[in-house]
Amino acid sequence: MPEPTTPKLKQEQAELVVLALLRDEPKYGYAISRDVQARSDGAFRLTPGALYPLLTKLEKQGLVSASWEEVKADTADPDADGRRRKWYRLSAKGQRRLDQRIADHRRFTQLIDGFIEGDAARASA
Amino acid sequence: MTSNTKSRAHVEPSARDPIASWLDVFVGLLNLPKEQQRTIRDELEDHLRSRVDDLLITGITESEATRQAVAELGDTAELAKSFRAASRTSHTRRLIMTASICTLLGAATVLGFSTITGTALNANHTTNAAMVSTKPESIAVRDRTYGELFADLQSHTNTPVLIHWDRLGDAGIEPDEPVNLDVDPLPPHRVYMLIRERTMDEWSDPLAVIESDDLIEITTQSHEDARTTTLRTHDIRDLLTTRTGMTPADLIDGNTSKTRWRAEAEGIFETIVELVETESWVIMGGDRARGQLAGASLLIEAPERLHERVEEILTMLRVDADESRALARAAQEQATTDARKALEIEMHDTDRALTLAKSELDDAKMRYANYAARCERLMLNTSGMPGTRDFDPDEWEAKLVELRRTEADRDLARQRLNDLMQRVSLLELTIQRVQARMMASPAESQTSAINPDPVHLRLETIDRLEAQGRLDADRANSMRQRAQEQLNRANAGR
Repeated sequence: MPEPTTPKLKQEQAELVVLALLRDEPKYGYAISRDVQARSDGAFRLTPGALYPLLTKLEKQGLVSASWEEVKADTADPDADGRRRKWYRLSAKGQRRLDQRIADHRRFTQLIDGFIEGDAARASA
Repeated sequence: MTSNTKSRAHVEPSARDPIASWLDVFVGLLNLPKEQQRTIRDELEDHLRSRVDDLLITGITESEATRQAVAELGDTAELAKSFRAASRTSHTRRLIMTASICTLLGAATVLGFSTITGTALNANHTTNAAMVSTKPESIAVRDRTYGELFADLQSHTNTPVLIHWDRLGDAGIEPDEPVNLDVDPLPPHRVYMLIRERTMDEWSDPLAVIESDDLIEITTQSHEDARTTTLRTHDIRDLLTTRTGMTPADLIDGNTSKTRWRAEAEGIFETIVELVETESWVIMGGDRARGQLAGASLLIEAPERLHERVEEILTMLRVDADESRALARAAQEQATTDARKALEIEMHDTDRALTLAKSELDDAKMRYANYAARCERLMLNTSGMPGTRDFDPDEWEAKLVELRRTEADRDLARQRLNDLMQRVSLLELTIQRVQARMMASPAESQTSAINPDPVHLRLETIDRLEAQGRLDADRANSMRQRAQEQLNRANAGR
């Protein structure tokens, strides 16, 4: 049996993955990118060139809301400026979009599975 | 947006370091407003420093971690391009709206407002206007949902209106969602325009109103795009020929020609992607349009509205190429005229110089003849010479002095005569050269002015070498004579 190829996320799938990751808790860009890789056992990768433009788009569509936080090291000078970190949170509209995407995905998978199982049934017969 | 402060480990404030330097370069490529640049810079800086922190845990050095974190971002220019495309969405979509304005005005007509937009309507829309009721009243917008608003809009036309709620839902427009337009009341066509504008700004998939004679559909742009997507071939052979000055036949010459031809074709495709809804192209991360170069053709699979824009861009490029060609032709004609005038001036000046030189030559001949005759007379005058009876040493010495002076004058006159003969010869040669150029066609004249033929080059070299003293006069004249004979043969054969 041939080795399965490494899947590549299409735009709609990347959107679903990011919205799903934000469902549990707010995250910042790097954390999203790290979680995508970790939760797919390294199979999926969202490069910064794909991730940040996608987040910009989701924010513009009102599917996520963003807020900024200033972060510092524990050992840093308390008076010095930290760097800014952008946090993304799923909006109510984003939750609806996610539900819709999940439903679409499940239906699509179910339909494809129907074909695969059909083939398998015919093969065993 | 809100701002709060948390204390976290492994995070250092920004400093002037390799990451900051790379970010300086990166934001310079963004070509976006300062505020957007700052936002993107801050977010990427956080990404890079977080990544460096993670890599440091694996035990590598900080410089190695920084190098790897930056390398993982990929090509800097490509990264800037994707950020630029994502950040310019609103602006680009406003351009789409302009292109779609006729559709919107058409819908407004169907909805009974031909009196408002009548001057902008074309014949097709007039047909629709006749089918509909004419109720020009405005409708309430404030505190309405999309469902209520579309129902009101439906009530303003006799043409059936089909609302694709499933598609609109995908784009974030739900029947029970508030429209949030804080203005009241508005004519229906203004409502459509405002909703569309809003959906362009807020969602990736704006509202689209598609009007036909018997149906008005309200759906998403992506739905409409999917229905009108086709594969088309755009022949750009003429553009490539104009822009490169090459024909397909020239491609047989070799790889350089093919590379240039291909580079020009790629340049045209890049222009199209840059100007026609950049973020929709697959190569820019979009999913609505794709293109492929095949020789002198551009294969494009895209929705109808994008095909129209591609055609517009190609037409503009053709007009531009024609204008450039006309300018080049005018410049060439001017250069030919200038070259011709320069030759006429050179001819005129040389002719005058030759006339003057000939006149001086005549004088020089006469002067030389006079001195030569005088020398002869002095030499023949033997009176008072030693050994004769009337020998007078003083007189004889005076005669000898006069003879030497006269001989010196004669020699000078001969030198002057030789110089002038050489000058006349050179000027005559120059006139022959100029005449030969003037007899040639205008294009040849211009070319020859820039790239003289080998004989002219040789003559100029002889002149230069002689002037520098690296060639004696006899040898130079002999070489000139041979070159002249060659030039005469060439002119006779022309």
